[in-house]
Amino acid sequence: MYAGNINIAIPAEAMAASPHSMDSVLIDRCAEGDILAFRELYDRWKSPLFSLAYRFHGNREDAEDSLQDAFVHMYRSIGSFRRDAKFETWMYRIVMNACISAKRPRRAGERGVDFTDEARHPAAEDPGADVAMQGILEEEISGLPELQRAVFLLYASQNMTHPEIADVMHIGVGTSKSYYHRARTSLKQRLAQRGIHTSETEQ
Amino acid sequence: MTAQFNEPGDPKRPVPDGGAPDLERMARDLPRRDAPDSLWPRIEQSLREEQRRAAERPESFVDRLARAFRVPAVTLALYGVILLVGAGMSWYLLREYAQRDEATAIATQSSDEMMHDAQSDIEQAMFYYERAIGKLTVLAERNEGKLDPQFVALQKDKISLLRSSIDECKAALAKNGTHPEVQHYLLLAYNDLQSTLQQMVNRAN
Repeated sequence: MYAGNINIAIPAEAMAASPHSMDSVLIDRCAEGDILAFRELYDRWKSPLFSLAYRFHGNREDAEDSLQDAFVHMYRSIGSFRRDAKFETWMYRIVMNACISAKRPRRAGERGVDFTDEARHPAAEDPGADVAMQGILEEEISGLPELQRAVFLLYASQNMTHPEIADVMHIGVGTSKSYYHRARTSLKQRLAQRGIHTSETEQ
Repeated sequence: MTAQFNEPGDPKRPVPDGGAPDLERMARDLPRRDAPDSLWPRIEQSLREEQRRAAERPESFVDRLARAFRVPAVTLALYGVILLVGAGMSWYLLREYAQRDEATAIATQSSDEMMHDAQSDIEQAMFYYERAIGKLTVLAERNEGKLDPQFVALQKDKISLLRSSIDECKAALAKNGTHPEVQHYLLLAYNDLQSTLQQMVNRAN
């Protein structure tokens, strides 16, 4: 096992280049079976991907399982990653597939939504945020149908465009917009029932 | 050298700022969730097992190709199957076409040969008519004194007319050797001439 700083010889040009160039260098090394390089990729992307998986499942355990499956799958198939495709899109696609294909549904008493506790004792880097409201929102997001949930999170939380979401999810742009609209409408209704009223602005 | 990377995932889509909180802003401001430190060891263990299994299993030709072409082995195998099926179908269709073409060629060649044979038979008939007419002409001239001079004169006029018709037909056939109507009239003229000469010979005897 590897803990602490990982030292990898990265070419100076790559260091000075964009994050995508760095990803490209690491991808080459991963394709040759370099697990240390893969660890670097993991460190670079674990935070946004884990947040996505966490919000999708609504609990830490399922998020960890999905992310583990996703990264193992990435390592296995990184050699076949085409350079004309966007690595980010490829990666999000694998994570979303892992989340959606994770074991479901859960019965009462099994792993459930645990946003609220964590939100009340946040690893919160945003002390000004309305923690309770965020917990409710995460809870309601995790109650959406899977595809609506995935599209909503990619759009609203990951800040992707509909064409990008369409690429990640292998759906049409219109379908992405439709899922997003339905997710948004549903969320607003659910939040309103819990006394949280949001503005009508739809982007 | 310790790699220091920028945080990936810079915003691509412009997001509004300020104003009343809306759903998108609430979603965007959701707290970041950090992966636990225990996650990488789990992933690494899975990867090590994966590597161990891969090392135990000898890399197949398909695996090597898949790695070279940067496509999953399953996809490559599927391409291979599609290629094989396509090649098989192409071979079958080409073979069918070639066989059909060959049969057509045989039929065409056979018709040409038959036409050639028929023309040869007609030319042989003409040859035999001319040979017979030549012999009958000698016989008729030999017996000319035994016949009525008026009859001989009439027959000679007819023979002269028939010979000129034969010469015209031959001239026409020299330009178009297989003209069916010319061949027909030539054979009729030969037949008439042979019949006329034979009448003279028969009458003299």
